[in-house]
Amino acid sequence: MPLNILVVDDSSVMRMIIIKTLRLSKLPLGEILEAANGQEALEMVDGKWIDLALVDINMPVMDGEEMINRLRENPATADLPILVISTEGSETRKERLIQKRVGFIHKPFTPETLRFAILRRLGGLDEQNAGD
Amino acid sequence: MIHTVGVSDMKVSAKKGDVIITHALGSCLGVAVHDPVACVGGLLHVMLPLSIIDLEKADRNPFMFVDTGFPKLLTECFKTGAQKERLEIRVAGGVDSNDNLFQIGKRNLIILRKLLWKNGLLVKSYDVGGSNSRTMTLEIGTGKVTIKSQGQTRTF
Amino acid sequence: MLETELYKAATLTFEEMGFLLPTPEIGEQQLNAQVEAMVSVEFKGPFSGKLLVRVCGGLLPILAANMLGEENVPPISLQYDALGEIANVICGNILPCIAGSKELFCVSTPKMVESIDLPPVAEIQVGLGLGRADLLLFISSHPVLTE
Repeated sequence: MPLNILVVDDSSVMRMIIIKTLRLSKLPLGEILEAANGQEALEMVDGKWIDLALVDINMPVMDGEEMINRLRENPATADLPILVISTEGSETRKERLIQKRVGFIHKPFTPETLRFAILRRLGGLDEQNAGD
Repeated sequence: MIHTVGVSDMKVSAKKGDVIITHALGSCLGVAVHDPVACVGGLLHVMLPLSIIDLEKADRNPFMFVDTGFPKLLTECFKTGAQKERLEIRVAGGVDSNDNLFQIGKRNLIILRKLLWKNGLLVKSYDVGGSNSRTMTLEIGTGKVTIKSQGQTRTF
Repeated sequence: MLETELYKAATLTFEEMGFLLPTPEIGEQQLNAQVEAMVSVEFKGPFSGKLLVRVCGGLLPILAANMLGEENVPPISLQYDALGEIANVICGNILPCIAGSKELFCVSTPKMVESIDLPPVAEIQVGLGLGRADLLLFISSHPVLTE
């Protein structure tokens, strides 16, 4: 079944890197949606089925944490697999997000790390952190 | 048949019974590629990252440098019947412990990763870094890659 | 020491994302290399400040092409975006080293800048191929009021 994936990052280059990795990972890809901030992403997914969201934290308009809070408050996206891809180094924020059941990838990352983390998140395992 | 790949050397085979082996992967990188459908594989033992430091040497032996050796490995595999979409790639070596000043092991890996990314290739597994030398073996018939290091053997 | 942490974060990022081989020694050609672009990333938290990353000597198009894994030089907008993301990642990696892993920061979207208005608290240069990157860290002496 093709996977619809949402990629949210204010950097076009980072979105391109993530999307290239998705394509190289040999996942059965359906639609790939891109957004440059949390607000744009929420508007984009309204009424659409998404299988996975890859989300940056530091973004203008609406940051990734606020976006994730909104996704979790919505029954339609309460269980959406979410992977945070960020430079976020604060354990305080990470712990808050772990309560929201998200996975983490720290920038900079290798494409293999991202692939592994995506497969793990789609497989529904509990671990929150991915590494090389 | 067992084929040994030396330093700055490469071997490709399409014979199911062949095994390709390379020893003493320190700061050097061993790159094993295998197409499980065509049953074609190759093993490269490469020493230095960039050929720009000695283009004449690179011309005589492209397998000395990552940026000339890895593309040649791919070309030879494709010529022998491998297809890019099916390639399984494994990388070993890249040790730096006795070489911290120049970090050749790390630099080899960076340049290889640049080429992999540029060529749209992901690696199946890495066994790199640390402080011990490795022996890498590729079985053409099965695509199995084993690493021997410090008396221990593992498949990866 | 701030310079050491800055150098570590910079080399990690240029290596892992830019696939470049950094050197601390700067040759004459690199020293005299022409400035191509400069990007600023601001942060606010227990203290505020910004990180400036300036690239010189033909580095910008190479960096962008490497990050995207492309043979051809990307358009200038993507080159600036790539540099911004490099600055973003370096900044994100250095803040926990300075402030500790518990502190929370808001890191702004990178923006291209033309000039430097204050003296930095830390400054390093990284040799990258024929070019170089200069990193300047500015920290405000006054804590920012939380909103």
